Amino acid sequence: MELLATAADSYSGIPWVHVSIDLWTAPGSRLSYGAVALRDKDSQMLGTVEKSLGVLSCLGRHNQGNIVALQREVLRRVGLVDADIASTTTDSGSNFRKAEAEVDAPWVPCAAHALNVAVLRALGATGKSFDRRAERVARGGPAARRWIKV
Amino acid sequence: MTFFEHSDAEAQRLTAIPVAGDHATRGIVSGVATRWESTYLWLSQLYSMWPRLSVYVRSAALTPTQRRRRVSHRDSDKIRHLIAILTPIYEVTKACQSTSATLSDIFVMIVALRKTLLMDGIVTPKVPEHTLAGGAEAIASCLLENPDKDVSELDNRLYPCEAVYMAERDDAEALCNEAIVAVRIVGTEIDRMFFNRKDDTKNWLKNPEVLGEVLLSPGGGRMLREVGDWVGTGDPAAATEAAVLQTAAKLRPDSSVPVGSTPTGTTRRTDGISELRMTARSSLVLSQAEQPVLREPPVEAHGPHRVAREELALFRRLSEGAAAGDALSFRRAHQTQLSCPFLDAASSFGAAGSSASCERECSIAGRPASSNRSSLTVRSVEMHSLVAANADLVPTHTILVPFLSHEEAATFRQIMSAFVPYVTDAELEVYDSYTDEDKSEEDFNGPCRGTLALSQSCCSLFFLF
Repeated sequence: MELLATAADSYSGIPWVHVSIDLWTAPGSRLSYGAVALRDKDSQMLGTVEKSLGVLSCLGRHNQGNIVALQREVLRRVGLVDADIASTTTDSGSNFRKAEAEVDAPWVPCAAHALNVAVLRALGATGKSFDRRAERVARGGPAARRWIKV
Repeated sequence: MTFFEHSDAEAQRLTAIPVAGDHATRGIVSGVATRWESTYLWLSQLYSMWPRLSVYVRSAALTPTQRRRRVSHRDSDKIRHLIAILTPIYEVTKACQSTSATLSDIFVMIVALRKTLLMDGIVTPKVPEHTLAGGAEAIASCLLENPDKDVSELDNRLYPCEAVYMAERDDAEALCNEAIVAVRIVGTEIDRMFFNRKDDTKNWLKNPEVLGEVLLSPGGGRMLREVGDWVGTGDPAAATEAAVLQTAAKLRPDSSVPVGSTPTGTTRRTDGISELRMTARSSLVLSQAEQPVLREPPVEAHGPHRVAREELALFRRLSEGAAAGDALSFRRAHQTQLSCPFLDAASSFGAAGSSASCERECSIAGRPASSNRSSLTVRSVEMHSLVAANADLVPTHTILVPFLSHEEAATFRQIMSAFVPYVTDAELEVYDSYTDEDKSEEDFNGPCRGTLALSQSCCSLFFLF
């Protein structure tokens, strides 16, 4: 908290804190959990400092409204408001994209999530329509030949 | 791999097969969709176990059905070609998870990854049976003895490697069809998620946070121009520059903005591993350039906007000829010249390129995930949340935490074993016997369970200290 207060004073006038948020739902359950982490420049080392705000139990569905409410509540506990947020980083889920659009800060999609999705789709490892096509492509046949011609 | 996961006896038989020059055996891992990098690690392990697998499938002890699962050289070729494609992706994903990785570092690596996947040839290990070295010491000495040899490190083993090509060639091997298709799809996905021309939210060249950080990294302006031309969105540097100056000008002149002195990490962390070994693990095509050392006079402050503009001009003069990426190392190298408080404040070096910190929080700190991170272990998550919510009960200074001698600890354990919460023994027994997560969650929600969990957590914390 002391660190956050010092940083907020230093950067008065501009957004300074970078927020990451992610949510999980336990399989076969309605219980869900969220983690929020903050990042900022280290004033002494010019590196980055990371502060976790812990894992919290989340009530309700992982929709846009609940995500924004959770994020604001967690940040409010440590004395931060939307105006302090310089950027937010989440996975590319549509619920997160809509939620972060409500916060007036640039949204950065999680690169690691995106690359993982790319690998899964390339190897046909998930069950969505695009992935089924990828699987068919990986097995060979006309679809594969079409890709190879590109 | 699934077969061996489901049968411990068969897994032990597999790992017990002796292979000359390869004594290391490990538990078998599998790919899990929600765990980043697991596909690569799974394929790497499968590849390193290939000699054992070849012997295993010829075993007379197998049933006729099991014997039908024969493996051929073509299978190993597919695996090594897929490994060749996944290696640069693994490298970038791993770099993204570093706490010291900046957005500009990740941007540079994503661009490098896309370019690597567009190349005609890609580096792949040769044959699984030919291991040059196994284990850290053997690998280090092998690399020192053969610094010019083309090698690739996989699953703690060193293999000779070769280039394979997208198209057939007389003198070289071509990628298998599956791998070619995988390259195309990964490339398309990277374009869709990072350089999407239809959706600005998925285009990093339209993202002000990414642009601002890349611009304020060494060689950033040049990098933005090149990538803008390559992707076809034009040069975003000028617009980014204006946005950065606008942000910097908002800073109050009396604010005590942090000024950098000694930056810490870089994206490519060696962690005591030699540069030769890092090269053996890498397959990304990165540009390398000498960093020029220039000396500039200090900037005189007049007003926030003007100072910010002068700082930006100074920074660009210093960084224009430098290699792209690794902003923190650049700042360390030029810390005497680069004292740009307004620009530092307006830059977004703290921005996270991945939400790995949140993933880490849930999978390491509280250990709420199951061992293979494929699902959550609800009891652990609940306990973690409970401890977080009651953090004020835990002493903030370590000096306040009581230190127990061995005798005191033994006594404490006896007391703890004798601890009986006010719930009845019968309920406790039912609670312990639950294996179904859904049922245990319902049971866990009661206040009695909360008290029990908190006391257990506090005991764990005491032992931790």
